[in-house]
Amino acid sequence: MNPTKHEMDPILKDFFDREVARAPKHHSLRGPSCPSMTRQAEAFSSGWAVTEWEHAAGCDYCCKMTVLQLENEHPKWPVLLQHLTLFGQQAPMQAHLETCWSCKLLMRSPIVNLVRFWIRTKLTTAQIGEKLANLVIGSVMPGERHLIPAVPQGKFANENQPPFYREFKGPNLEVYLREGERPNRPLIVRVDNPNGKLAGRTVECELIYGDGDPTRTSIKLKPNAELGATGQTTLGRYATLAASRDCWHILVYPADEACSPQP
Amino acid sequence: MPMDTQTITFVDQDERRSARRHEIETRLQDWLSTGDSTAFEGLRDKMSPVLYCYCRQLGLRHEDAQDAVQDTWLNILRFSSRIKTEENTYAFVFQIAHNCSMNWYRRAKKFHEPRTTSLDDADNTINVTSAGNPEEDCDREDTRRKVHQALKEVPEIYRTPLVLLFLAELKREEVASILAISPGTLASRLFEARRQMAVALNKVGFPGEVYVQPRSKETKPRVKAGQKKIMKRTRQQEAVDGKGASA
Repeated sequence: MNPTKHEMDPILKDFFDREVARAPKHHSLRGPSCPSMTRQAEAFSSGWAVTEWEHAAGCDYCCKMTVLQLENEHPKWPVLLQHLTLFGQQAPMQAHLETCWSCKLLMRSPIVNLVRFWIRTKLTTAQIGEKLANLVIGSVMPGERHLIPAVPQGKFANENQPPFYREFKGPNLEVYLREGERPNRPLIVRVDNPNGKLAGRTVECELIYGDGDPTRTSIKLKPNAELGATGQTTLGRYATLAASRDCWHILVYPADEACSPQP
Repeated sequence: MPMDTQTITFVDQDERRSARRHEIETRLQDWLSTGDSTAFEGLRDKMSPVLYCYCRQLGLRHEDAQDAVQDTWLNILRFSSRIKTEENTYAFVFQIAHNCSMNWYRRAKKFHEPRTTSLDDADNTINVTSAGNPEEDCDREDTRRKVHQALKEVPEIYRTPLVLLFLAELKREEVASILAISPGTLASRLFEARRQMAVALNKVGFPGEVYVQPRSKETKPRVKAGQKKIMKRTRQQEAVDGKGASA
């Protein structure tokens, strides 16, 4: 081969070596006090600590990292609550809520607004926890979908097996979710009040899922000799409501304790 | 004598490059086995410049490339449990990087035409100069610019395999797997990429003449997928019209 003629590969190798040597190692916005990336990922799930938040809320790099994470995943409960209580990174969360229907609906939920109201009225964490335990009977978080049996849309794993069934038990209310009979196979919600104290009162039942409007219904609890007080209703077809959604929450609470969003 | 010197340089270069991949792989294994954040930061320091260069070669701007690199690392953290189960962890990490970069590339395409930009345009690039004489440095810099200019001339479909092969230190089968193409397709794309690159280097006045591999046979001009569809529809329409006329 003519020695004046180069081969392509060494030229390219040399070129890319030089490019790599010139490339920046870190993001240009990253400062010395920014937490590590592993911590950023942790904070996205569990929220920021008070000491970190002051930096993270005002740092362009940390906000950018949160925005990048919000593009891949929905925020977890602690992060949403931090946002609601004006603690946390407001700008990235606000931007996410402008485009994400699922999270927006969750924020509009009366139960979430009730928590915000309690926080604003300066209830202690223990008091809020106690109230919540009494109020929220069950909630299935998006990240814990393994709790729900894996069933394809509109069809169950085995015809001989009992239908899709879940129950949530709290101190005052017990909620049973099950699939109804053919042909419509509705999603049936039954609410029991074992001590019968709530007999004659109405409970609000709210199913939040996907990116659609939440399905709400009211159930009037009637006295029952065996169950204390009980009420039942259907929310629509199971297949279209629960099975096909990635993310859903069932919230049940006595109607007179529900709180309208506070200004 | 100059030929010997050049050969030695290239051998050193290959050793250095394989050592770089080996170091990244070791750090990756360290992090996956210990889950230690310090090990992760070490891996990030070592690999981020490679990922940044890859994004720039795809045509992303400095800011987008930086964000794409961060996005890649966040995804690597998200899928760390899956990476552990992979046989070839290095290639899998680059698969994530490629997917992230392509997402950013598509996003950037909506707002502006991505073009392969030189690292000179970036604000935060490090100026690397050898301790040798400045004249040599100047020559090297000039050469680098010319290679970059030539690389810009190569269409993206041929440039990407070339970049993955030489920048990311990936093996051919790994590149084929990342780009989801067969090894035969990869070989033909690499051949065409090298050929077009050689033509472009000669065009920009690269020092010395670069050998241009001839095409093995004259091939028919490529018809784009969209054009094929149009041609097919036209044929079908003609057939329908013909039937209608005869009826």
